[in-house]
Amino acid sequence: MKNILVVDDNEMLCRLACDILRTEGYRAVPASNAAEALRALEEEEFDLLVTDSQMPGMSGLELARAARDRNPHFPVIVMTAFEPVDCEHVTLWLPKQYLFPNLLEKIRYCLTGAEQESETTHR
Amino acid sequence: MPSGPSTDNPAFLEETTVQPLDATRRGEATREIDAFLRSRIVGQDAAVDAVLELYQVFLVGMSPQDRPVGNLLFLGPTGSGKTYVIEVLAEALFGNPHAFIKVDCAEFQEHHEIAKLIGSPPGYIGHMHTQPILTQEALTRWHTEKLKLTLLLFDEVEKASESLWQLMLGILDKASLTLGDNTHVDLSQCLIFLTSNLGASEMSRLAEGGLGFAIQAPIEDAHLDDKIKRTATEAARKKFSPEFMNRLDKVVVFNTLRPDQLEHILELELAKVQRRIEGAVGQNHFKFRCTPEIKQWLLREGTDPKYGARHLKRVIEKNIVYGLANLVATGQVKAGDCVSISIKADGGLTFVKIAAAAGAESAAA
Repeated sequence: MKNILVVDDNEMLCRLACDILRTEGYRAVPASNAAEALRALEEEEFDLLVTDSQMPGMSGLELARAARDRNPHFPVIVMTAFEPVDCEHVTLWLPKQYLFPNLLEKIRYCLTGAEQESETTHR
Repeated sequence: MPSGPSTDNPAFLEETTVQPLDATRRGEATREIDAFLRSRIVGQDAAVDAVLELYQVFLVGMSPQDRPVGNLLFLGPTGSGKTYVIEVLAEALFGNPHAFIKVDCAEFQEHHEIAKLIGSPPGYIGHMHTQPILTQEALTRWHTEKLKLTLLLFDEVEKASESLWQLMLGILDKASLTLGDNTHVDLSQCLIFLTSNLGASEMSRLAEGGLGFAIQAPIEDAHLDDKIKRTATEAARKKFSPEFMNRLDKVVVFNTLRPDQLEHILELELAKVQRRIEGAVGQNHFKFRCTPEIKQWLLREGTDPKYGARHLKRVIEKNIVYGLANLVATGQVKAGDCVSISIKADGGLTFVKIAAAAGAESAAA
């Protein structure tokens, strides 16, 4: 079962998104800010990070950078209510107004891509 | 010669108080499960009764020795709720709808695939690497201090290979299984379910000239249920050997559902979404309600002549849950709000926020 870390300071969205991901067969762990997310990344292995871009304190982009410092191939999806900016640490951007079902499609894309990349590396 | 009370002694009979007993009354624990199952399962009372009878016998410790707690065959069209009954039972007993072991017989159509179930024997490639599904640890995974019962499902049994048949015959009769590494597995605390949709097309033709539970008016026939049961049982007898049929405690034929029952299922599913929202976001939840028009639309989209109500959950998820989540993501809905969902003439859905006071009244209604 793929393990996804979902980070958003909007607690209602964070938990609801996790609930939807669980019904899709993923294991989803909520975090309400970047510090909590970093702790979770320290303690557990995740297959994907889904984070809000604008959060109080450390932003989603800074969190993405921190996650990529640990693993350069770690897939990261950033949800945003604003225009996405070019960032090498983000695999995909996702506008919040079209979150679902686009998020599920992007997650599938990222996880399949990660698997293929991993297979290629092993060969 | 000792002289004791004798039933043919008129004096003894005169002294005896005769108290009528009710052998149909169930214990409190079973009644609780009964209420839970009936609040979530619509139109399948025969299945609920069959499960409860076996559960009651198990609870009082009167299940047969060296046999599973019960062997039930569920027959019925796709989407009629055969697996759902087991999920609800798992939720009632263990608080988790996934607390059962499912063996998808379609995955065991080839002789060698049986190794996935019991592990490879020593000397074969994969021995020690193939983790068997039916280990003693797997069977006891959901056991609690109070309840040492395992729910085991063999789904779509008609697709099983000959090797799996032989294995199942042993399990159903002796409640025992020997794994590839010679380990013995005891299945005497298992309630075994077998599902099949054999005879589904004939049953549906009888009921309403279509497959599954299409929302047409059913043919008026007082003996229709009996005819459907006979058709399904006949189909099973033709396909399955007498040895197999003799090992079953009960064969339950799932009914095709009437439109009013489908509406009831929709209400249950929508209530489940509301509970999910409350469970996911705790105290800070919001409420939603659906107009009669959107409910009819969901029924039309979610029930299919071929696949029954299988798509209903998916349609609710895609149209209601995703929509609500998008409203939350964009800050349009907050804690305490009430959202009304309706449908436009062109088929698009509309989400409207109702003012706090009115919302509270609507939600209560």
